[in-house]
Amino acid sequence: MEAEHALTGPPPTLERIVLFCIPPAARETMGGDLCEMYRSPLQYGWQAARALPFVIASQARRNANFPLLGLQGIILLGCFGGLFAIASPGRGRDYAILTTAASLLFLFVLGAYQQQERPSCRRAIIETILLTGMVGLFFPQLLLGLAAVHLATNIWWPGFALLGCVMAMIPVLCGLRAGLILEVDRRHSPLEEELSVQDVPQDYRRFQKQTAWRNQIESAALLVAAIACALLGGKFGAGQGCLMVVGGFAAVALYLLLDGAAPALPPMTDFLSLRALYQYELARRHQLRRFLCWLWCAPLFLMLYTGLITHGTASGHSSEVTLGILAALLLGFFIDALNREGAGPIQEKIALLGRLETAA
Amino acid sequence: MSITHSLGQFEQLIMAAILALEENAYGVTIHAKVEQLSQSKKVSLGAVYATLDRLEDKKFIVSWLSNPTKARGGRSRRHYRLEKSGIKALRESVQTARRVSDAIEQSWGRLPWKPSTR
Repeated sequence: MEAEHALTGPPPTLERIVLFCIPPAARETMGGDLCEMYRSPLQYGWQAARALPFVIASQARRNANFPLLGLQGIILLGCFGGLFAIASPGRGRDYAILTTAASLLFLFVLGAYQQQERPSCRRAIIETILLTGMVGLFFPQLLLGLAAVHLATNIWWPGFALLGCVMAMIPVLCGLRAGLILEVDRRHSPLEEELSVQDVPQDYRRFQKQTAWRNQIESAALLVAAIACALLGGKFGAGQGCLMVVGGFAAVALYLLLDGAAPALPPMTDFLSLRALYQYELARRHQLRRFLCWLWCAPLFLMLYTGLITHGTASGHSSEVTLGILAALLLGFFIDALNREGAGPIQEKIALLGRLETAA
Repeated sequence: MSITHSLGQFEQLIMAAILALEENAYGVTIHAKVEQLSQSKKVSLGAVYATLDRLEDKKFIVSWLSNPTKARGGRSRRHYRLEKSGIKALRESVQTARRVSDAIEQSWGRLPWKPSTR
């Protein structure tokens, strides 16, 4: 039966299109299964089209970092003027909520296509151009939202001038991401395939100890930062935003202490179960790091929001508002780039563990 | 019964298929077995993948990649196996289904009419 299928495979162009649409984590398995079930190009295309929505949704759910999406939602809502408009029903609020929801949906689906290996410069540049294009797509919505609630008068010209600046900055942003990739590659040389099945339990125990002490240090630092934010926020009258940051810091510190560490190795575990546990914990650690990176930068977003966006709105300086929004978007881009490029070694370790099982 | 051990009907079908297929449980065979078990119902391959992902996240099953084969365009198969927690969850689901079945049978005995079993 297998030899029969080997002779008749799907047309290469159709196969390439289908493989491109399948999220990387499911590409090997689903691509192979579709190939094995192949009867005709129509059947192949139809089978793939029916399965794809489920697979994309499933991979997006698996890779989704819901606390991070919540945090990004608050930042985006702030950027789109929603924090001003939330209490007053009208077009401005609708624009802000719809644009934030659309952006979050885009980020959620994009999560399904998370890389499974170290990031490449080529992919990073394509992603940067795509993301800048998305900002360009949402920018008129943003301006419409702000104009609709009369947050800032005469917002159109400074807004579009700054959008032009963002577009002109594409090469700089591409260079920044490529530079980060090269820096991570320089600091972390590629993992050699030295890890054997026998080494995995010891490696997991080492990882468990490292995460435990890192969590303790980070939770202590978060508590100190929460106290500092509470004191400084009270002094400068930052209000509700500061309270949210303090609450976030304290809650995450508590989580890190109570549930952040990797569980101890269960007794009598075979290699497959241990490998699954190790990969799961590595992925969880990566998600936690992504969220923490954004959380640590939350005071910066708050400063931009209160210092530029709110101040610009109150004083009627539209250029300050748009500058604040663009600064927040660029800061978000930088944090995301740091996260993606820094995650390379973790993805590589997960992939290495996955390959080990084949050899076992 | 712990909430974490509860299984949906489709999850039960997938786990039953993995159990029945033993060493040969991977996407294509699980899909075929589930269609066979669900009797004439068309099952989407995507729904099978999504459920397998969910069961893996719940740590009821574990997966591994086989060596690549020519029939699959040089790609590997992802094989699945039930974990101890999965076997426990499946056993509890079977016991619950048995209790429900017994209760229905007893109730039917008291009905003035005979329900169709078709």
